Amino acid sequence: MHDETKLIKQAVRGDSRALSELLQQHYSFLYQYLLKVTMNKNRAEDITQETMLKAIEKISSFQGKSKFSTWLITIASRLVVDRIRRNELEKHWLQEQQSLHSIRFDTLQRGDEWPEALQALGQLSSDIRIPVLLKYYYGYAQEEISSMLDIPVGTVKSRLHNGLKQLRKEITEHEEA
Amino acid sequence: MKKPNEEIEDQLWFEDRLKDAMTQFDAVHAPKVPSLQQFEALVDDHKQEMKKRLWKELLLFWLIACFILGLMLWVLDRNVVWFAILQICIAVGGISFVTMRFRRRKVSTWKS
Repeated sequence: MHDETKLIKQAVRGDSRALSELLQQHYSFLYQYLLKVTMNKNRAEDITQETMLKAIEKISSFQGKSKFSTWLITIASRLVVDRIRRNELEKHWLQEQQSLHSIRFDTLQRGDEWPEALQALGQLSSDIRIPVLLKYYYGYAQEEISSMLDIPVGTVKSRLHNGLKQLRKEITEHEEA
Repeated sequence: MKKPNEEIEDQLWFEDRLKDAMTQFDAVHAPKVPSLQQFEALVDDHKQEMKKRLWKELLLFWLIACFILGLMLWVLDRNVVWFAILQICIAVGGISFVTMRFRRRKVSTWKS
């Protein structure tokens, strides 16, 4: 942790090696976050790369108020939201369904199971899945999510409420069947 | 608004039903991390590209500035009245553009 603070200070001052080390240390974390958000390997790789480039551009303005990982997640989440906005809704929905099938197939091929919990999470739309992941999996507070995604706290609350309601419904239905 | 107890219940429910599956998912899909040299190459290349872009933008800015300044001096030399009209038009246009941009940003912040 202490080492990270030192690396951040050096990176902000323009040290390329320190920045490279930071990016390497957070690569897996960022990719895995984006894979859960997009449920699409190519898109996750693509946005990971784009996030890294944005981080290189903006590192001099990083003030260190949040953790480096939080800063990367914020950049990545906004890139995802931008991409969703640029896509038409229907096209986006179809892409999400195809991605979900593909990542399910890939997980099963690697010899792992595909539990109903992941299927239910994948069924959520990205704008709901992002706050749900940030709150319940990564442990961020609603206010933090609000500033990370640049949306009001009320919107975060309603998305969390709807997301959890949908997850409960899907998982309970599956258990009863 | 949810009570703190309900929030804790939601958190526990999520951890009970989804957390293990997601941790397992992360483990299965752990990526191959590129070497430090590859990251250094990425950082250096992108910094170079940013510098190039900055110089291009600066050059474009100076070219446009010189063109506008030349045009204004030419108009001033030909006709003072037209120069004054042009100045007023530019000032009004600039102020309305900035106001519209500012308003739109406020509305979008409020909407989102």
